[in-house]
Amino acid sequence: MKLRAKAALAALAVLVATPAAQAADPVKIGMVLPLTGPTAGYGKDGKLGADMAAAEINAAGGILDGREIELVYEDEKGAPQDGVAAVQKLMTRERVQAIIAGMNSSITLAESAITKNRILHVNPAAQADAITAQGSPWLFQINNTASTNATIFHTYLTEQMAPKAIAVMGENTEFNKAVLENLREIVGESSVELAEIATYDGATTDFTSIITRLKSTGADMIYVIDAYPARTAQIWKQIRQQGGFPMEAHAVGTVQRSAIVPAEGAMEGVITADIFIAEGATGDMARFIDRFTEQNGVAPNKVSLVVYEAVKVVAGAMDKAGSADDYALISDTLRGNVWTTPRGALSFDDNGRAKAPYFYIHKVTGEDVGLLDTFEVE
Amino acid sequence: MTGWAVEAAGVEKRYGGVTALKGVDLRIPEGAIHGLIGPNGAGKSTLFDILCGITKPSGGRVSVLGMDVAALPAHHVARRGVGRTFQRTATFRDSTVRENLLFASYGRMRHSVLQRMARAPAWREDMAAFETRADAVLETCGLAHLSDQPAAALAYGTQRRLAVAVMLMNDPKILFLDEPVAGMNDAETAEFIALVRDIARGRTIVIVEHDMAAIGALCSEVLVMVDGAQVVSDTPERALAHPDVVAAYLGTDADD
Amino acid sequence: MDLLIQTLINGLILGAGYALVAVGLTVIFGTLHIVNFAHGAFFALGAYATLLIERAGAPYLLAIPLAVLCVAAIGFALEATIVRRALYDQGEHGSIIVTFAISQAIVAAIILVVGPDPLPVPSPFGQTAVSVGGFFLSAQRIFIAAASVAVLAGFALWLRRSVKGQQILAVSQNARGALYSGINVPLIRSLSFLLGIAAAGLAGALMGPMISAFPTMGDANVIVAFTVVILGGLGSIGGAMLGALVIGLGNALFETYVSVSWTPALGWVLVILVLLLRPQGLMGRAQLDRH
Repeated sequence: MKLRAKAALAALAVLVATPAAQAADPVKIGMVLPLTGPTAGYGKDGKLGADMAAAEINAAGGILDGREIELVYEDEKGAPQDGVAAVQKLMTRERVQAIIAGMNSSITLAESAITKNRILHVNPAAQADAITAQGSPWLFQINNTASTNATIFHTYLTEQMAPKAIAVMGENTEFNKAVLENLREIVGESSVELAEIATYDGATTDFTSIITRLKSTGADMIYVIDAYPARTAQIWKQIRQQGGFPMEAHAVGTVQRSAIVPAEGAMEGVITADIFIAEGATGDMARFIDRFTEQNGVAPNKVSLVVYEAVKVVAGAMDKAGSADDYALISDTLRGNVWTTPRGALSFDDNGRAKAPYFYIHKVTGEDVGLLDTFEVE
Repeated sequence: MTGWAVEAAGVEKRYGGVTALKGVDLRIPEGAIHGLIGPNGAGKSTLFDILCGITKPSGGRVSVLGMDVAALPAHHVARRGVGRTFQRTATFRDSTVRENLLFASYGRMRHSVLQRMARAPAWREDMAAFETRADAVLETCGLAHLSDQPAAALAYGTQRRLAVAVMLMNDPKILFLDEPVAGMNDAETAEFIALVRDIARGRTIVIVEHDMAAIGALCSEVLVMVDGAQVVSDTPERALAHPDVVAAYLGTDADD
Repeated sequence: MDLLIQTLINGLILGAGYALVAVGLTVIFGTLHIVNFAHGAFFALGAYATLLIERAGAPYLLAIPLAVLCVAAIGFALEATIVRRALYDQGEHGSIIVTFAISQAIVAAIILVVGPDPLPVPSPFGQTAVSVGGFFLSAQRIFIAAASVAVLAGFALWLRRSVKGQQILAVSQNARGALYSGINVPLIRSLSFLLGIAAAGLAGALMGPMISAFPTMGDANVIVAFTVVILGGLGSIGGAMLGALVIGLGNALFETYVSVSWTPALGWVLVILVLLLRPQGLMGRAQLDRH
């Protein structure tokens, strides 16, 4: 009896104390990015987008009646175990109110096992369908799923480019698996042949023999599925050294300047695709690109954009829901509303997946990608 | 010169909280064959390492051939006339017998890299001096017919003789032998004792050994150590008859 | 038949590159008995030094030796301040932690100073491919293979013929025996460390144009080098060269004719087989009693 009274008193004290404290306390959002390791370039690009979003929100008076957004960064180093450790640290030590984590699919899957049913988790960039297929009620994804992206891209490859046979090489990852499954399906419905699929391990240092083998199949299209910029550059250099293929394609959403520049021209003309392109942008997107370029001295890429959108969407949903920690309410708010981002209107389905309004086919031109074709996503 | 090859007083060695040597005094006259015996763990190897300059003492004074060995790097001690063989075989296993001797001789050679490449007279002189010395040493140690054999292919007793030969290349004034006859058969032991007598002319030899017959055959005096301290220093017969030594050996199973 | 010849060429060229990384690793292990986990970081430093020297205006061929000198200088500083004090005679356990820490520090420093994005390392051989009788050979690869073979042959000759080289062999066989033969073992150890690091830096300078410079670029290459070194026999220089050839050819043949996904496992399967049948490695010696 006495104990219960004490507990009630304590609860009362909390009730009395919190509103006052909350008005001053910032809302902490945990940002898990690869700041070191082989994909550290993505981390750098993402951080620029996140910082810009937070600065804009705070300059406009913050959320939830004047609370500022505070971003707390942790490094996932491009490895699942480090991603898990980063998420755990942010949740237990930093006590953040939401987690934004997701570049590499394998790492994001590991991280989402920790956040499931415990905290709001927004995955900005990782594409594998498995991430949002696990029925996690508080998990959302800004980027398209690999299968959505791949379906459009693979249809484009088979129908528009129409090679006789495709040779595929890609790293053995969760992302690669999702893309390959889709490719088999789409190619199966067409007259195009899948000459050979070579999946290599992340520790592979040389691709000459793989390319030799793929060339020996006589395929007229090479399709590379790899999300690591340095390796992407190395693979295309080696493809070029062996004379290249009549048609050349690289997986959706993985070709950035960070791969094109070190490839030193070896990626020229490679076909790829993404949910974003700077070329020919208008309206909100053009304004976003201008602001970003002015602040950072470099143009934004897809990674900067989706991390920017993730911070904006999290903050917007918390503000609209009127809470920073009622995740059921925030999640309902996320699903029940349409969110305006530089790309246009973004809405989330029951699985927490957003669909990009547009999809662009790219062709590597010079040190960046150029626009080849635009699709509107139904 | 003092007439003493080794003068050590109050030598102590502590490893953390463990005291391996508790103030040992030792004097070895020049030209003597001196034994160092005691059960395992008595501190013989530690004392040996200190005398050779490989381990620095925690306390006390150590002078070998008039040098303060505690203050010198081990390879300097070696170059100034201190030789040592090891309890376990310590030859250069992948190299031939002659190459083993060559490794030990580089410290004495004076030619430069350029002179070597040009096969200059300085190089030829050094190599000629080496060949003369190597031939003499191989002869002394009974290894002349094995000079192109890899060390690893030699019989165990022969490898121990090679270890001595390697040391002889630098003509040490004092030679420390760490359990040289351990593991040898009777014939090999007898051969080795003869070799030690032969090379003892003009130098001081210190032997750690469990084989009391070998000690008795070679040494004029032995220092008996038990538990990090000296028990007695005397001729082999008298030292082994000392009641404390008998007790120490009977109390352990160390005499292997 | 054409495919086989192209594959064998690929394998030989690959092996020559592996040998350079592996020999550095094995020289350090042989004389110092430390496992240098920082080898990959020095490899990366070699590529970055080449890149920065080229940016300052030097041509690639001149940048390579200058970069090797830079890496050796950094290696010397670390050897004198950390490795010598913390590691010699301390066995392999401490060395794993200390060299791993050095590796992390170097990678972090690269990210701070140059940034995380991969950067192209310009080379006059560029993407040029030479076509000989229908076989494609990348000019940069031919250069890597030729430079590796030349440097390794020079190194092997130096080990056999020079006093310092002989002393390195002596110390790697028996450090205590070498000490009592009057060899300045601490000096030989420092020299071996520098040579090993310089080899890593040279490998980075040669391979940079192929794989681009990025902070963790050494990791994958050093993992291969570890399999090469274990295969050949820890501390054995001839073994490292043979091991590199075996792994290079094995990987190329396996990738072309069997399975790409299982290729990294191939190296380790070979290692396990060798360790079961010949624990000292192909050319290593049985473990010495280090007493």
